[in-house]
Amino acid sequence: MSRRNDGRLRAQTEIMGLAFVVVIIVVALLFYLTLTASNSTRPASSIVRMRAAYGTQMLSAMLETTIPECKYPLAQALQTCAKNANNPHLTCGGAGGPHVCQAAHDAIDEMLTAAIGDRMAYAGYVRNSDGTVFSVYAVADGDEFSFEPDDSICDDGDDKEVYAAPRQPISLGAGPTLDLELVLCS
Amino acid sequence: MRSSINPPREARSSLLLASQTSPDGAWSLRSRVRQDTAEPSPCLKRQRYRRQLAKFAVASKNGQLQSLETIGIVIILLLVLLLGGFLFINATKGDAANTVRRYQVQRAEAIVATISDLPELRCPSYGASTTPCLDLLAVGIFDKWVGNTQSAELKEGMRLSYHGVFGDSFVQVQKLYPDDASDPQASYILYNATNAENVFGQDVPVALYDAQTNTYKLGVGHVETQ
Repeated sequence: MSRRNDGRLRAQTEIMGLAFVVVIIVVALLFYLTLTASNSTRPASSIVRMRAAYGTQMLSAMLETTIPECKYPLAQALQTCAKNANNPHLTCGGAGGPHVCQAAHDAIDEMLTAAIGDRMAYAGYVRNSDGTVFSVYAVADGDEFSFEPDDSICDDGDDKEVYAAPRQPISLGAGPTLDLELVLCS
Repeated sequence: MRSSINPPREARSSLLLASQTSPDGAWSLRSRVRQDTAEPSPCLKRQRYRRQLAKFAVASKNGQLQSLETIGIVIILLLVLLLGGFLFINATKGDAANTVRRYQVQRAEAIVATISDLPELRCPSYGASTTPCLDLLAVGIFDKWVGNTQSAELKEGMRLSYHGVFGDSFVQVQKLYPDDASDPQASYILYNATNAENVFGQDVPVALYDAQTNTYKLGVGHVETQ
């Protein structure tokens, strides 16, 4: 009888030991997963911060860059385009030059292609102060200049980061403004 | 009845002798009594032998099981230790790599912020400017005297002068827009003091002021830190 009790006691002790080992392994795995998960978020936050700095500085530099055909900065070209879209003589570089809206449109495209290229999907917009996309009809060409990309740039699973240059809105007179906006997809 | 239990006189004397000579007196006595009183039959001997053999087999099996159990526990403990060590090394390795990367990012950000504030390089302005802007003429001079000088002595002197600002880094400025094919130089090295392979690169868009044409160009500052 006592031998049977001894056997039971020993079996219970061994089961307890086994349970203890299992608990230790589970705790260690949870600790490891927590540690690795928290590590993976740290560099991501740095990259997001870097990209935010990149996006806002890109917009500021773009607005200040001189368009060669017009001889004045992009911000001024957009302002002129918005105020005088119906003026057919408002061309850059004299008669025969591109319309100022066309020049601004092409300049935004060329600058973003040169700076970002194939590294990531991107799009540059110009928006009115009410959030709608800035779009004008230039009488000179009879074309509509819509300052937004033709295709959807981000895939379904991509993260979309939108940067704007809120410190440098382009004034169009009393009230309305234009904002240059950059969208980066990752 | 009594006479049948008691051994004969000769047997008693041998028993007495055995109890005196053997250390285990009682057992020897009993066995000798049995031997002396009646010789076991071969069948009984065989049965006894088999019983002893069975006892020995059970004891041996128990011993083997206990040995196997001990070996199994040792193997499991070793596996747990190895797994723990592997996970710990992995976690600390990843953490160290992240710390290095974070330091490189912060260093690159600090250098980027410093470049456009250097009086030697910044654009002439009469008020506060939020746009990072570099003077293209100053950048060209910097490229000639600090980044690309052929004089080893001058290079070392400049490197020491600007080491406090840039550290062990590589700083380059590239013109991006407008794309001018006739432009003799599209890239300027401002500082070059990296010698490690594990470097982290960061780009920062800048406006480049060309005093000769009074225009602004779009450029990108590329900073590599180690």
